This record gives sequence, structure tokens and C-alpha cells, in this order.
Amino acid sequence: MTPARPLANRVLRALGSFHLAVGIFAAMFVVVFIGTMQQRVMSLHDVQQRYFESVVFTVPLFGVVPVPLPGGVTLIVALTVNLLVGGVLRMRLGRSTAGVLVTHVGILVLFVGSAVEWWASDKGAVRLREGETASVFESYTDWELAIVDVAARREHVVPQDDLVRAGDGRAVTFTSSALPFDVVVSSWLRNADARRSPGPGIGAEGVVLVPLPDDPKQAEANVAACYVDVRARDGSGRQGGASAKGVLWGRAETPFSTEVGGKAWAFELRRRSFALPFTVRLDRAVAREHPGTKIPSEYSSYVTRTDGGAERAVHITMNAPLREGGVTLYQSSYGKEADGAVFSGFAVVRNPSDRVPIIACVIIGAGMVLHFLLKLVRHLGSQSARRAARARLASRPAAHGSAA
Amino acid sequence: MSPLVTPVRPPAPRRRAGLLVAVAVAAVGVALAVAGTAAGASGAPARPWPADAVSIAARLPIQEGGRIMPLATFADVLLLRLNHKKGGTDAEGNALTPTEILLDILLRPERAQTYPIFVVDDDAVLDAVGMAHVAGKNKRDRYSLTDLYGARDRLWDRADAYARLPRAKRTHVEDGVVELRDNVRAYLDLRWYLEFARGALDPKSAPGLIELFPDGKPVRFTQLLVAAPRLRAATTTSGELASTATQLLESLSQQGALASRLASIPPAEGAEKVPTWLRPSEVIEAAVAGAPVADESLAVLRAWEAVAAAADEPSVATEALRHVADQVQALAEARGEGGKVGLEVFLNRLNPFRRALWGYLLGFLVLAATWMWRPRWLVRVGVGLTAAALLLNVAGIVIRCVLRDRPPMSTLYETTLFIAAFAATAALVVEWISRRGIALAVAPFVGALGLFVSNRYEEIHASDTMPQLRAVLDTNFWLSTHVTCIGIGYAATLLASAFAHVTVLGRIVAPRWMRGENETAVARMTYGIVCFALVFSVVGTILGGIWANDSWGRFWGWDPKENGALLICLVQLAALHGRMGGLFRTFGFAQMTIFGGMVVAFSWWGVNLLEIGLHSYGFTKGVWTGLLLFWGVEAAAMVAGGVHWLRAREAASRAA
Repeated sequence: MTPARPLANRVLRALGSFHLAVGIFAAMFVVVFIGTMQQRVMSLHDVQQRYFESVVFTVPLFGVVPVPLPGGVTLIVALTVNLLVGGVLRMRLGRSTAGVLVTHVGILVLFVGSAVEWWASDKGAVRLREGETASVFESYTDWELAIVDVAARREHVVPQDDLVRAGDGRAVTFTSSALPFDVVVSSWLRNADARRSPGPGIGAEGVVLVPLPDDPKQAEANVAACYVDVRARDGSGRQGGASAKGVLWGRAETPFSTEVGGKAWAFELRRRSFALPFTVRLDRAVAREHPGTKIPSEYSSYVTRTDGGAERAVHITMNAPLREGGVTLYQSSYGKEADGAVFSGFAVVRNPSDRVPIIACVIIGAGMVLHFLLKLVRHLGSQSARRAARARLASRPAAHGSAA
Repeated sequence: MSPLVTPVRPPAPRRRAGLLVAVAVAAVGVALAVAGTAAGASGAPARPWPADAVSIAARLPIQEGGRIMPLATFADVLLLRLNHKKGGTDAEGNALTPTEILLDILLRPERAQTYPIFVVDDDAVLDAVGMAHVAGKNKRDRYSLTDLYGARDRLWDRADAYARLPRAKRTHVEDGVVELRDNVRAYLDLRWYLEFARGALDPKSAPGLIELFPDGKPVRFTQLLVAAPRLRAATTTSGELASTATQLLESLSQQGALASRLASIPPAEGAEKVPTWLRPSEVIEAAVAGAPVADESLAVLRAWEAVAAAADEPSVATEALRHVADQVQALAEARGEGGKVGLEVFLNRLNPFRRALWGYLLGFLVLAATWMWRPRWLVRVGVGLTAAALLLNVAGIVIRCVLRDRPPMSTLYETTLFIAAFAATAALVVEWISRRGIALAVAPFVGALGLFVSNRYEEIHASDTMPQLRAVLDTNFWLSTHVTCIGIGYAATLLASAFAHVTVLGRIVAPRWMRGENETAVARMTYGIVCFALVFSVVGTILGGIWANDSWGRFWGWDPKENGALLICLVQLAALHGRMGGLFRTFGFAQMTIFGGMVVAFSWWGVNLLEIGLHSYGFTKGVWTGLLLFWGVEAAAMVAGGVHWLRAREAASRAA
């Protein structure tokens, strides 16, 4: 009736077309290949951010001309649209397409699960010596600024996403009505060393932060740092001054502390921490090697998990994590401290879509098997029909000939 | 008979790092000194070991690489490493099995040192260590320990220097020097292993010793070990025995330390309590130190003494060897170990994968001959050879599964065996469906290709093909689901690629045949197998994610191996969707399928060479050449096919 409908149809057809699908697969191939090869020179974290979790990235053609390419996020969005439009909504439902439809739905389930993991999961680690207990775990790469009211043991937390705004020579002021001071953060550094200051006025507390290049292989090895300036709003800072400047460094042994309004406050830059829904105690860490070799045969941990007074003993091994309360603890490392104490490292993940891949795998597998089996059966049927026809054709002239 | 107290000392090494190094260097020097002077012994005619002795030795269990294996497997790996093949010859060129050679190294070292079993790939390696060229030898040739004697000092010096260089910066000659030194060292570790068993001491020759051994008969090593407490006590006395005792205890320790290469004595305790087998050096060290030593362990050492004493009388030595084997096997059985040693020896003798390779090759050649001349019996011969090869291939895999208590694929090597068998089987199934004789010839071809890779990999790797698995891989559930699915995906993709070659190259070399029904049939086969491959590639990749989620806490970590699997899925998805969308027809789809095969090679081997990520478990030194060759050949096939296709299109448009 109106020209809008054919146009909309054309757009929908293009969005759901096989050609677009092939283009997306080809682009994905290029991105995944580049991202794989780049792992030789970049950390996995950086590769992920640059290629797989980006909208667009550039590749220097002949080492100089920057060529923009779609990043992983763009491609996955495009594929989702293509799949939804061409592979689900516009697909004619019939015997021959049922399996494909099921497969496509399974892939969408997988994508949804991955999206939920992307947005809603927390990943980190906790390291326990034998006999130690933990109720929180720490992020591998994210930091946070904890402002602690020492006497009241109350914490205020500034997340990394806000802290990074203080990079590149900028200073960012954080204000909260619950605090009697403002905090000015400056010189945010993703990886830094703290060294003795060469002179007065340089750095703070006699220490200066020196930026370091990112660890090329392991982003979790980076140690973040920044300066803070605590500015009391009523001028009741330490020694009657209005401002106290300190250094925050991820590897500092003690937090920066100052006094405002007659109270002691501590400022600590630490790896972002998450609460566990239970406490876990490492009772025994086990590491075994195959006899006479250095090949590890078993890493495992005997732990006790406590929740509201109820205790349960659990054995965590490399292929059998502890899944409980929406959190999963995996055996990730084992070692000995300098003092000989044995420890277990656990990777900790809170992922609401933890089990989605299994469901998706079953749906996708079933869909593909259904589709291809139907095709095979049809092929075999038509092949035997062709053979029978050929046999009839072959027998007819012979009969004719003999009659003649 | 060798002297009991350590014989001729080599020149003092310039760098010493503790007793072990000193002993090793001493061993080298002594061995090479003996090698250079034992012309008389080397000239003696070699009396072969009786078949019984070889069979007993082959079944002798040892603990190596964390598992119990027969000595024959150890010997195979040793010869692969030294000689780059499972076997060798004596100085006269008579063929010897690895077990026979190992028996000679252990028991008749003066004969073994004349065997040319050290492969030198490039004689520039010998130039680098200042060794004079041996007349009649080629650029790549084999040398005996005696040949290498003259270069001993420089070989060690140069190898030490080169070994300190980063691996990536070494030239192939420097690598060759280090490898040669390591091989000589590996040989010498075994040459000295039973040295303790060869000696006997006249008690009258050592001052005061007659007090301990009043019957005056020659005293064997184990007798001195048993007398160690009394010798130690004597060191604190003032009699003439004191200095003899001190010297003897030191000598026992030194000779004992040389017997450390093989863990060959099952402890008397249970396997749970003491999982590691003992080396003679440990038993000797404990005895010298006065620690308690199990009678069973001493009995094994005594039994070896009896074998060594009879080494030049093979028939007597055979019985003595049987006694050693009986004792070791009884101890192992009591611990519930060594039960599968016989089956492994059977597998080694069956040598299924090498035989299957020949079967596939002959099968392919015969079937290829039927393209020109097609009598029914010749086709049957080709089918029979292919079926026999497949049967051997599968039998070998099944026996390995039984030996390891594992599903078919848990190492990179095993993937080659499985993929060869699966691809050949799948091709035969395709033939059963299509009945055109095309898939029939492809079956032995892909089987041969797979087993060629497995045999080459075994030779290059030169290590046990049944290694113990690291903790994360110790899960038969995931090995049998994820790994098997991925393996089937690889096999099917490569098989599809083989059919795609028939389309692409068939158009060039046999254009009259590759058209009409034949072309359609091959295209259908290719398409069907790609569909099959996609199911397993996708399911296998997702299962891998689920396994990773159970082991490492993340479904997808962009690890190179994971990415490789994803790349395969992407190529297949692009090919199938492009076919449905009319982007690819027969030729385009075939080209995409060949490219898919190249991507499988990247995922299967290439990512391991990147040496990054969590899946770099298969160290693949020397595989680069093969991989680049494969990619080069495949790219050439694609380009040739492409050029031919363009020309044909131009010709068609001109004709129109």
C-alpha cells in the first residue's frame, strides 16, 4: 500500500540474508585469527579488550595505514540480528527447516547466556593457606578505592570505572554527603611503581609514582596507583589544615590514613572485592605428582564451607569445583609460601548463566542432528529411487532388443 | 672383569657442579676412554642374544615417566632418540632390535660402543666439535660411541656453551651439538647402569679385607653392601682395614651413583604407600649409609650380578635374566602393578600403525590402478588391503585404550591415530552410500596420510607415546566427549577437504570425467561430510567451553586452541550459508572446504607452535616444516583450481 513496506521488507531481507551471514562469519574469522596471533605479543586481557570486546579496531596495513575493522561486539550484535531476522523470524516453518530453527534458537540461547555472563558475572580469586578462612574474593584486574571510617569500621567504595577518569593528567573530585570531606583523585595509573621522591613537592608522603608499561602478558600483574587529596569541608583536617595528600599504590603494605573531624580515616587502593555467600576454610591442600616425575597428577583442596552455622566438608579438584549459592570455586593453583606454608588458589565466579551453555549445547546438537539426519534420509530415498529408475531404464532396451 | 674400585679417571672437568655432575663427567670420560682403547673387544664376533633372552628383557617392567612400562618400550624410545628409528645395526651391519641393542649397552658395553646408532643429521655438527671426518660417511650418517671418542672434550664444552643460548637463537648446528651431547649422555647413563654388577674384588688384594671375607673368594658388590655396617665400623678402628674400609665405602657410593637411570626395583611396600620404584643407586646409597634395605631389593641387585657375570655366555645369561624378571615381576604383582606389560609388548611387536600405513598405501595404489584397469579381483585386493589396514589401525587404538584406561584421544599423538582411522572409516561409509568407487580410493589415502603424520610425529618427538596426563586432563568424561567430538570434527573436515580436492583438481587433470553425475556425486559427498563435520565441530567446541567452565571457571577464554576450534566452525558455517545463499556453487564450496582443511591444520598443530595459552601441551618441535609444506601444497591447489576456473569461465563466455 505504501512504499515503506517494500523498503522495510528489503531491509529485513538484507539483515537476514545469507550473504550478510557469510560476511559476518568471514569478518569474525579475521578478528579471531588476528586476536589469536596477537596473543604472542599482548596479554590476553588486552587482546580481549582490543579485538573481541571492541566495537571497532584498526589494523596497520603495511605497518602504517590504519584500516578500521569491526570489533567482536559489532560482529556479535550483527550476527544476532542476522540470526534473529533471517534464521528465526523470517524462516518458513516446515519439516525441512525445523532442525535449523531449533539450532538457531539454541545459538540465541547461548548468546543470551554469554550476554548475561558479560554483564552480570563477577570473576576473581581467593588464596588460602591451610587453616585460613575467607568470606570475600578479589577481582583479577579491577581495583577500588576503599575509604574506611576506622573507628566505626564502615567502608565507602569508589569503583575503578570512576577512578580511571582521573587518568591522563585529570583530577576527579568525589563527594558524598556521608563523608565530611571531598576526595580528589589524580594521576590514575594502571600499572605503576612507587619510589622515593627526588625532592619536596614532587609526589606525596615522600613517594612518587612512576608509570610502568602494562605487563605484556598478564594484565593481573599490573599494580594500579594514584594520588589522593583529602579536603575537609570544614577545615578540620589533620594538623588543622584543610587538605592531606597521600599516595595510593596497589602493593602498599599499609593504607594512607588521615584525620578529619576528629575521626581517623584510612584510604586503601585494593583489588575489587566481592562477598561470598558463605565462608570457606581450607583444611588441606593436596598436590601429587606421577611417581618419579614432576608431572602433576592431582591438585585438590579439602575445604569446609560454613553458612549460618551449618558446616559441610567439600573436596574441590581440578574438574570438580564447588558450586553453591550462585558462586563457583575452582581449584586454580597450589604452592608453598616462603615460610613453607601450603596454599591453594581458587578462581571464583559468580555467573547467573553458569549452566546455560549445557542447555544451549543440547538444543544446538539436537537441532543439527535432526536437520542433517532428515537431509540424509531424503538423499538416501531419492538415491535409491534414482537407482531403481536407472535399473528400469537399463532393463528396458535389453527386453526390446531380445524381442526384436 | 672391570675393576671394582673406580677405574681410570678422566681429566678433571673444568666446571663442576656438585657430586652428581662430577660422577656424570667421570662416567663420560671413563666410557670414552674405554671406547677409544677397546679395539680388541670391538673386534670380537658378536654372539646374538637368544630369542628367549630378548623376550624376557622386553617384558621386564620398569617405572618410567610415572608409569610402569616394559623395557622394550624404553628401548624403542631410546633408539628413536639416538638413531631416529626403532632399531639399529652392529658394526658389521647386522640388524638389531632396540631391546637387543639396549641389552648390549647394559651388559656388553664394549661391543655396543661400536654400534653406529648416533644419527648426525649434518656433519657440520662434527666440524663444530672438531671431529675428523670418518671415511665413507655421508653428510647425514650414523656414528658409534667409538667414532665420537676423539671429540669428547670439545663436544661437552661446545654443548655446554650452546645450551646456555636461548633456544630460539641457536643455529641448527648448535642444536645438533647439544642434541648429540644429550644423546651420548643418555647412552652413557645406561652404559654405566650395571657397572656395579660387573665387578668383583679379590679380598687378598685389599689390606685387611680378608678379615671380613676369610674364605678368600672374590667378593661381589652386593656382598660388600651387606658388609657395609662392618666396613663403617672398621673405619673408626686403627687396624689396616680402616683405610681399605674408607676407600671401599667411597667406591661403593660412587659406583652406586652411576646406577640411577632406571627405576627398576619395585619397593616391597604397597603402591599407595610408596608409589615410586627404586633405582639401584637409591638401594646402594641406603645400604652404604646404614639405612634399612629390603632383602627383596638386594636380591634384585644380586640377580643382576649373576646376569652381568654371564654376559658373554648368552645362554647362561638368559637364565640369570629370567631370574631377574621373575623377582621384579613378583614384586610388581604384589603391588598390583605391571599387569599390562605383556599387552604392551604385544602391541610393540604388532607394530599396528606402521603396518597399517603400508596397508593403506598399498591399498591406495591398487585402487588407483583400478582407475585404468578395473578387474573385479583387483578392486577386491585394494578393498582387502584397506580393510586390513583399518582393522590394524583400530586394533592398535583399542589396545592403547585398554593399556591406558583412557578414551582413544588424550595426547596429540593419539589424535593422529584416531583421525586416520575415523576418516578412513567415514570414507568407506560414504562409499557404501554412494557406490561410485571414488570414496573407496579416498579411504586408504586419508588413512595413509594420517598414519604418516603419526609415524613422523613419533619419530620427531622420540618420547613415550603413552605419557601420564596432567591433573586437568585426568577426566575420562571430558576426554571421551569433548576431545572425541573435536577429533571427529577434524577428521570429517579433512576428509571433506580430500573430496574437495577431487573436485578442484579433477577439473584440471580429468575434465572429461569430472562433470555431470560424477561431479554432482563428489559435490554431494563433500557437502554431506561438511554437514557432519559441522555438527561435531560445534558440539565439540561448546563441550570444550563447558569443560573449561568446570576446570578454570570460564566458558570461553579466547585461548588459541579454543579460537582454532571456533575458526573451523566459522569456515564451515560460511561455506554452508554461502552455498544456501547461492554465493558458492560446486567449485566455490570445494575451495572453501579445502580452506577448512588448512584451518584444521592450524587448529590441530599450528596453535601449539605459538607456545601460548593453556593448550600448548603438545610440544611440537620440528613440526613447522610439515605444516608449512601442507599449507603451501593446499594453497597451490586452491590457486591452480582458481586459475583453471577463471579460464574455463572466460572460455565459456567467449563461446557464448
